[in-house]
Amino acid sequence: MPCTYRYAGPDGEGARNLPEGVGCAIGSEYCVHLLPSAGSLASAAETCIARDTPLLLLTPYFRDGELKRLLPLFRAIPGGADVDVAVNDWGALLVLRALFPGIRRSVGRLLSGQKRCPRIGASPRLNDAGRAWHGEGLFSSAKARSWLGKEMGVSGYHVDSLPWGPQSFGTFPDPGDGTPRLYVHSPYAVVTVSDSCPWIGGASSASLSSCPRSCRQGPVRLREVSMGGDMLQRGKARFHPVRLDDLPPGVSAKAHGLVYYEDLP
Amino acid sequence: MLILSPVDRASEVAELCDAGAEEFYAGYVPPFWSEAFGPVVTCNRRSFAEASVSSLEELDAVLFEAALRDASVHVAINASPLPDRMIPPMADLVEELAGRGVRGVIVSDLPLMLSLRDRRFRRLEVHASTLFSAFNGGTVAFLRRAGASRVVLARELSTADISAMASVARGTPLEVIGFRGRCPNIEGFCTHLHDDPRRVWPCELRYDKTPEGEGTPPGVLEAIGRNEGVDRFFSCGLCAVPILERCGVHALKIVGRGAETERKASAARAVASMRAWGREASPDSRACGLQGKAVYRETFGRRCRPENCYFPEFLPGEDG
Repeated sequence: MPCTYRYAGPDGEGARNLPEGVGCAIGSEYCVHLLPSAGSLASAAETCIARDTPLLLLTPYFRDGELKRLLPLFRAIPGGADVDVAVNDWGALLVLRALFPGIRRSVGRLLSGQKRCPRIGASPRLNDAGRAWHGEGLFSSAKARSWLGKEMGVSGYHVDSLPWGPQSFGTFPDPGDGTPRLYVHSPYAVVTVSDSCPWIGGASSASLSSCPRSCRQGPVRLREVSMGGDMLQRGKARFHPVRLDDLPPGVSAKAHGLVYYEDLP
Repeated sequence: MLILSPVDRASEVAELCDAGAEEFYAGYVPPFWSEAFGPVVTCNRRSFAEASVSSLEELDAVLFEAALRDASVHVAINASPLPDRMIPPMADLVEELAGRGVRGVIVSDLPLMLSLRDRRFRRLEVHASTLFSAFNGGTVAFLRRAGASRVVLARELSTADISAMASVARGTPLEVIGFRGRCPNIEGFCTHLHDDPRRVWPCELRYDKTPEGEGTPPGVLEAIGRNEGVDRFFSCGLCAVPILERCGVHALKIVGRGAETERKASAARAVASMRAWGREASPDSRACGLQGKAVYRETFGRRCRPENCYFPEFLPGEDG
């Protein structure tokens, strides 16, 4: 049975209210300003230790100066915590490998290679193979899995549950000891990420040293008839809601973890 | 700093070199790929035929015309992910391209990059595409370990970011995309399908925008709308050219595979003009901003705008 995680907010503010046995996901895949402080991370990790549940820390991409913010964060992880860091920056992966080799790390959704545009499901110009191609990713490459495992210590892959390309999970190993873990996120598939945030006037998130996080007050729905489905924008990211019953059966069998979001991350 | 121009056919090489191009990159779609995936999913991320050279014979002609002018040619094989079954034929294709005189391939797929590294080409360069989202020096180091001999940086970096990365690149040449084709999204994280034959992409569409929740601050919808309907043809990073050269950037890439020759040439002329001015004047940042805006007006016949600006630290739209 896959482990279930729920997103408890950037700082893990909902961690204490999660149902029994449910793991906790915190942080952000798309904005450095939505990372928890070291204190919040330590607190969420202590909560998870007390509840005997795992913690998943989602991390975004970083500029050089921002990358330094990771160091106190990783140092704050208490010994004994069952923590996985989802990495969405190759440089961050390298830093983790070099400085924190004991922390379990996985390739996040932004690096996974899956394509999630709602047009993919609706485009009349795609043939079957072309549509299925959009579901492929690093996780479906034995060569990538082998190199990332041996050279970078990658022990897992994060993907979205998409209606296209379930066969791309065919070569992914079944759950077991020593095999990479597959984390399936649902229901908000990440379609695209910008460096500019409309919630701070369209400026780059790097232009602020800290952010009031007004994007947390509510997303914006984006509708255009040719897109094949609505998108939801929060901060710098656009998401496409994928219904839970779209989860292909072959995918759930491979999953180590199912990461659910009650609200947009 | 070299000027890297798109090229689609041999007949435009001379004009582009005359305009200032010193390196070229092209697209090529092998028949085994298009037969498998159809016209939209190409191996070089362009869904229209004009953006690729039409045949290997035409590519040979491009290589010959470029060699006459001492310009190297690189080929984009920058789709990702490549399915595992496509890696061996793609690596074979790269070997064939190298044999014909292609100097480098632009790759965004990690397994393909690893396969090319394993083949140990004597002369071929492997360029890590901007799709690897190199925002920091650690990513450059990661890509070097994976086999990259040149790294194309993320498009969103400032000149200060790039300068800092150049100082720790440890000899890995860095490339910056800096003219035409600016996208509001981070290319490596964008999964939009670019399938519209009219070339109107999802990032340019005008959306109906409805706030959900009561707390959406004023100005959010306007900020989202600012990138809608923007013509990427007007994208520019001219102000940064002298600074990028000074901090050691190896090449500045002009976007525009599939564009008319005159558009490509005018872009190369604008970048070359800015670079020549920078070499002569040794300008500070403010002077770069003023000169870049002047060259922009000369090139496009209008003032620059924030939504078309690669380097907003030069205050687009303000003439000083």
